[in-house]
Amino acid sequence: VTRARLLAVLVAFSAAHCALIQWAAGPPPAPAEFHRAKTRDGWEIELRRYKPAGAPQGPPVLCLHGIVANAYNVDLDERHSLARFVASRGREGWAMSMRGQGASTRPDWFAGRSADYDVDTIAAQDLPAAVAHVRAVTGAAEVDLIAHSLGGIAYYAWLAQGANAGTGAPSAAPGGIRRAATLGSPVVFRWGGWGESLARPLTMVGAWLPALPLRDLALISLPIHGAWDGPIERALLSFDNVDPVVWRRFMAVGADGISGGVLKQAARWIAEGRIVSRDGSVDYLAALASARTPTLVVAGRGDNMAAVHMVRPAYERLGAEKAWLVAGRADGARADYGHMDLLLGENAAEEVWAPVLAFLNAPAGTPAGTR
Amino acid sequence: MALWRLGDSKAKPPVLVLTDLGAPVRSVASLVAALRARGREVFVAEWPRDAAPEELFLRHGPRALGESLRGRDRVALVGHGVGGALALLLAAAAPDRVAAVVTLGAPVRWSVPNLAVERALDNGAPAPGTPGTRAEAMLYDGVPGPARWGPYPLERVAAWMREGDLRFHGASYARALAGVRAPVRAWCGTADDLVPREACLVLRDFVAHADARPAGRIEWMKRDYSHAGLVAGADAAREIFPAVAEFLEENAE
Repeated sequence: VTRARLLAVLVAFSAAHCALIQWAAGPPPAPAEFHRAKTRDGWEIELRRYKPAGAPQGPPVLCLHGIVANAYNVDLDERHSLARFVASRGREGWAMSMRGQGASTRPDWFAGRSADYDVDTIAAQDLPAAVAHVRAVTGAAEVDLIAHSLGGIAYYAWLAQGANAGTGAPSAAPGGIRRAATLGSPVVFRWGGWGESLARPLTMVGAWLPALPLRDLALISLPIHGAWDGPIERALLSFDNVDPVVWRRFMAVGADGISGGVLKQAARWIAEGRIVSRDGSVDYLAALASARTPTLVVAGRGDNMAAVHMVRPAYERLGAEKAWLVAGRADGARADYGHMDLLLGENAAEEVWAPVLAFLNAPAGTPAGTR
Repeated sequence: MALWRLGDSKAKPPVLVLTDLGAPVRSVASLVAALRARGREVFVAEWPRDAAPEELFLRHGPRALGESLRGRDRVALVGHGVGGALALLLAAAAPDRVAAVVTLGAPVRWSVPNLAVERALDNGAPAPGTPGTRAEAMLYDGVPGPARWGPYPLERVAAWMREGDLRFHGASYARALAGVRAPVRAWCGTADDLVPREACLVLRDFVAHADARPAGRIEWMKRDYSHAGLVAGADAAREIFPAVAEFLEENAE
């Protein structure tokens, strides 16, 4: 009898939790065209395609999320979707999930897919596979990229691999990114205060974990997200700018895990104070000097995760045509943007995405606002 | 320059409070009250409104330090904005006489252009703190009306903001800080649009032992602190000043 009761409680708890997640997740996403891109090492990458109403007015735009997230971060709902925004402005919008995130294939020991992949892997496998798929499907010669946080670091790593050397020319990597923007992508790690005191021991411990199941933790703690300005919220967003309901919805569907490989690499970056390749031979920040892809670097003035000074060095090092944008009150926005505000902020479409798209729309060689 | 003296306790090193450029002595009134409540003798220095940072560094600051040191071995320094930058420079110049340094929104090196500041300097847009304008919030976010003291004398720090480092008499301000030996705690407002956190946290590149930390929600504070908010904000008396006093108690007894 005790076992039966226990089982009943567990079933009731699971059902309640599923209902809670359904409730928090809100309406299902708008009908998109779902695609899967195959990487050279056999993983599948989730892609969602949104077509513009008329003829495309430029290359497709690939939208890439950051750490602890998936495609929902760039495509949450009608109002909070970078991918649908670019489609509404005449470009094809493609939202992607990195490997192990969202509906992309997940690590599976038995299938030989280990969780030791890192940013080098994402840059060498996932990004090229997604770019190649979008080019093949749309027939576009090149794509534009908007990448948030770790996605932007993966883009920097991709640039450092020389992947885009001589756009259009055959090279070791497929190339194919015409113009790009990074949003809140840190290249140095100096928070000051408890963030820094905590980051080091945390990443040291994290470096020994096979993976960090943050998706499960986010689901378990779902009711408190949006109801309380907790430590995660303080690090990631401002409720002045992000609707608590939107934040809870993101936590229900968009929060995802971290692989052991990314943890290990992040631990090393924080310990060494620089972003380097897995074998330590390539300094991704230094390599930006020889990049040739026009890039806009965006920072959020209120970003506690990737503060302005952690993002800015990338802009300073870039050897290509470049532009700099701070999303903050002093620079004309309605709020000081936090890390997630750049994608989930109530005014992000107007204050961040529109200037980003304007940069992507600018014909090559246009003098950029290199403030 | 005007120098006020409050209290005459000789039990602990006195605290010399250095106001920001253009800020009256009342800008630090509640901070001074909090220090006095801990039994500290406090000196407060106020600068001529049109003074430039260089004048503070070379003339007024050393005078204020000399006056507050009369009959004493050491003094603790607490400075707001450019007053904080001055505190660091004085600690570098007189390492044996400065027991501890606390800075609040003190610039060390500016590295990121600020559109609103550029507009104010180039096009006559209202300077931060100008009453009745959007620029008012740039300086005074979270500061109750009566505690505000007018627009910031932006033109005085324009060269510093634009060049990044301040150079005077052929020397670099930031590099001069290498001589700082005293314990240093710096609070950098996360909503400070005048001395943004990067311009303040960068102190650690020049004074390795300095404990520079953000002042805002990320540090479990109620709000993200603006520039004036660090000394006159509605919550500063509860969230900032006790920490300032504790740091001095630990390091300047």
